[in-house]
Amino acid sequence: MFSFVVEAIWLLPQLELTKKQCKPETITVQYLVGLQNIYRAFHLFDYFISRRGRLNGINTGIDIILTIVSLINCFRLLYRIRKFHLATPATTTALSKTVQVHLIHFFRFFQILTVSIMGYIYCYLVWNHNYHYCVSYPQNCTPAELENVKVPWAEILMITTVLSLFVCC
Amino acid sequence: MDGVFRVWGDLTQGLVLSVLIIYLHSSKTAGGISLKSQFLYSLVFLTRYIGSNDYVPTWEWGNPARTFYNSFSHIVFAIIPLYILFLMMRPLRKTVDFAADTVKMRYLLSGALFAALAILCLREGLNWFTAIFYYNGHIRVSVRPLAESANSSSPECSVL
Repeated sequence: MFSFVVEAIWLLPQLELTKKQCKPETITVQYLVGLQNIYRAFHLFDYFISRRGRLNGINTGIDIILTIVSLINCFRLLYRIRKFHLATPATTTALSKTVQVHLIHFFRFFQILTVSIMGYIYCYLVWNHNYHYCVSYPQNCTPAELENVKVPWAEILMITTVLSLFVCC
Repeated sequence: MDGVFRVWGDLTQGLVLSVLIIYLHSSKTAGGISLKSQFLYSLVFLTRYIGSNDYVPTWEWGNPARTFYNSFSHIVFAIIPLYILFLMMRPLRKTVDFAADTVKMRYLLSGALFAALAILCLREGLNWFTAIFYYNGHIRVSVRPLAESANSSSPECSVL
């Protein structure tokens, strides 16, 4: 429970710091700190939609209230930074050249990971087709099971198209 | 697999923390970040995953991908804030603005501890002494099924 209470208040020192000292050079990093707590909003959506809160730490009404408090702090910080951002004319670029290069490298790795997952799905579908019991013994299967043996060409085509587009872009 | 929003949230958190680390490494400055906030942020995950096994996933052989994802994400999200804290404490210590970071940590932490104990006492129906010295998430989780089975098998001898 202590961790949830701390999670609700951890942004208070950052809010105080931003109130006292918000410079154009530090806006990007302060946005990032503000976004550090956004994941909690997704966990809250997940709780309300799927009711699987145990691993997200949302089990009772108090957890929901503490999550909402943490999100209020997060949006207060983002609003404060945005207000300052709009009032201050931009003098520097948001991200330096070095950060941009590092980010591009990061996204390239992310792209490779995505391609690997897509490849895995494709291979799994082909494997599932080839080793399906009903491929070898169709006489022992019901029509509904035989329906599963058909290669899901639509899905494979869709995955291949998305994969190709992603790699080409 | 888990809900799409949970995975989305985890990916967002991972992305933000990664960009923050890249930013700290490349710009070589921690100006604008509150060290106290980052300390509290790392404390959140440390206390959550160490203090109770409610949030530590058990390994399910039936679904290894899911348990791997849960374990991996928990470990990563506990370590990355500590690494950010390390960067701010050691290599970038000179760039941290201690003068502007004036919130009193002792008030925040003691208030959080008091609030957590109060919520625990109200929710679990414990007194202060039990909550401080005897309450443990591990015991609660392991004892509850036994108590429930005892209640269901012998209604006249109620444990809970």
